[in-house]
Amino acid sequence: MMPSESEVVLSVRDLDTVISTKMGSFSAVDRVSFDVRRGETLGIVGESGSGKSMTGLSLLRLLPRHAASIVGGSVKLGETELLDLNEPEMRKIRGREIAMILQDPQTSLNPAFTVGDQIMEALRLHRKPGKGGYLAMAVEALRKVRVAAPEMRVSAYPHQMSGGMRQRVVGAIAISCRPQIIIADEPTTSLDVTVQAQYLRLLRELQEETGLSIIFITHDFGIVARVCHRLAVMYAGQIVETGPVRQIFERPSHPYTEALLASVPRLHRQTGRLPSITGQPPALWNKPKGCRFAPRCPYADARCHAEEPPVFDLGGTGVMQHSARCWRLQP
Amino acid sequence: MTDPRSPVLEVTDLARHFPLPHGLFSGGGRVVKAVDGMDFTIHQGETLALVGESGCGKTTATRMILRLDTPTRGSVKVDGLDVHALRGKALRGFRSKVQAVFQDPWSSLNPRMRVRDLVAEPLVANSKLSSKEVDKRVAKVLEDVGLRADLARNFPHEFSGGQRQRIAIASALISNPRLIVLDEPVSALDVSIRSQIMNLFKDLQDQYQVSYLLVAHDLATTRYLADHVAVMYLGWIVEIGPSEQIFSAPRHPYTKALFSAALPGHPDDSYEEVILEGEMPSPINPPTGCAFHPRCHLKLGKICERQAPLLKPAQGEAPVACHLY
Repeated sequence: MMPSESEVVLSVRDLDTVISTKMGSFSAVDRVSFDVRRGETLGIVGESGSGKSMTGLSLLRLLPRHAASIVGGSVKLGETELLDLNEPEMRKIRGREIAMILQDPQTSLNPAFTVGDQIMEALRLHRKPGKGGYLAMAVEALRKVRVAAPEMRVSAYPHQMSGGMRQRVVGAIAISCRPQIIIADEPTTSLDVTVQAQYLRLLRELQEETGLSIIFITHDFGIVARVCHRLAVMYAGQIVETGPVRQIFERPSHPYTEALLASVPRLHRQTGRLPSITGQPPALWNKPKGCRFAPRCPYADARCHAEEPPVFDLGGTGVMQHSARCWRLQP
Repeated sequence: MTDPRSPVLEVTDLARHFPLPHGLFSGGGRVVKAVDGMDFTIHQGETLALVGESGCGKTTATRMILRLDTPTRGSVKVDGLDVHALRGKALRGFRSKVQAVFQDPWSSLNPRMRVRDLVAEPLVANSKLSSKEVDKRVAKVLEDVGLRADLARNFPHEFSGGQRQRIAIASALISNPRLIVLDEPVSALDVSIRSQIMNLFKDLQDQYQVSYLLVAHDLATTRYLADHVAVMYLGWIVEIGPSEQIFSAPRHPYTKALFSAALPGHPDDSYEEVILEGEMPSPINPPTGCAFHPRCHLKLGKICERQAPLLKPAQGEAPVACHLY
């Protein structure tokens, strides 16, 4: 199931995104680097304010103008440097090469148009009509996301559908232009558990059928355990650990990852009292000097509070590459 | 003090039917059976969790228990007193005996009130204590929930999400309630904060001997906090029993499917994937017979379509409403 050494489709290096407010500028995404391979699902896990959603929006350059901007780094889709493209060129990438699925289908669909119209809007922008015209392509997209009776549903309005069905429609829009990558930002948070399980299975099946790459942004380690191949853990704007999912669950190398994994209650292996992390994540405008996790870290020493740790490589190459940002890992 | 063996909360045949409005096209007289006959009890110092997906009736049930809504049928008794028959002084007594903590501490705390007044409100409303006495009680309960007493002068916006939830908990606790309804109490909090608050609930339960009625969609959270679990589907309890028993050996097909949909704690956790097709049917037009039969993977046949199974206890097992047993 793990895509072995398939080609890297998206390569992000030292991405820096800054938010500007009246109180000054803060870095929200701080030197973030990762690779996404064909057919791979990369999970980006973090708490609110960790920068995971800002990372997703930065990749598509969908940041709110004036309020946030990318100030450095590189985002390469194949051979194309996305940060060098102008706006019309970037529009050809969005939806066509990289599509996005957001958390709440209630707000990402327009209530005044049929779901068919909304799927066709994307198709008209990016693709030539097929044999049966755009309508047939929209029906096909709905069939792909396992919507029953797609010929009828294509003319339904969003309010006529349930939450799970609506999120499938959002998925249909995302895959309709056959993108290489889908960025899914908490796509199942508003769904019930049984519907969430159906949706995760659907994403996995679509990936097997098409070789799609998925960047899955979530706060839930359970989702990571079920659908992701590789994982990047974010804390206060930085990736603190990245590696293969199973390896990180077995041997978390950053104290934050370790503490977070231990604090999540397990359904099938109940232990005594839950270990918990003291304190709370730092505010963006008030990040600690040194390691950002140091004030909450049980292992922190004087150096952790004074000097920011670099990323240490823990071995492995390609899909098995594992690294973490912690002084204790210094060889 | 009441007998510790008599239940704190006793819910009998509780039902709430909402009449549908007479529309241009809809025939009159139809009702939505949001809750249609629930029975359960909670004893002192115990936690019962209601689990189920949206639309199963758990919110309607808790609203009736908090006396925010009137049942169509059945009764809710707290310490043996019928909650919906209370008037006057006895009703004020009920208000301090039953409290609630809600999901979102950003909307449950009035931003214009200081922490001291927010926390003290149940006391001030329901008893006649001097201001000094109230201050003392506020300081004590703030410390119990892990906040410094001198923060009482601050406003809610000065606190983080986890701290706000602590304030809400302090307010629920200050009147020494018998029962606290916890409605999704950790789902709005950050992952690293959740376990702090979950542990706090456990500690406070030991300290105050309070009972909890927990409503949560996260099954692992439920397992960690609850002694007993009631699984709901379309206004019915389909299975109820001790948490350990239900989580280790679920019997109702819906419970099995719900648990199998829960996310694993580890990539290697084995799971039997019972993926349900479709979604919960509308309570306006519920299926005949067993409400779960159209989605059931273990359906027996005609009996499931015709006859609604009753919640019946089997020997040594948790009661389950299914024709299989």
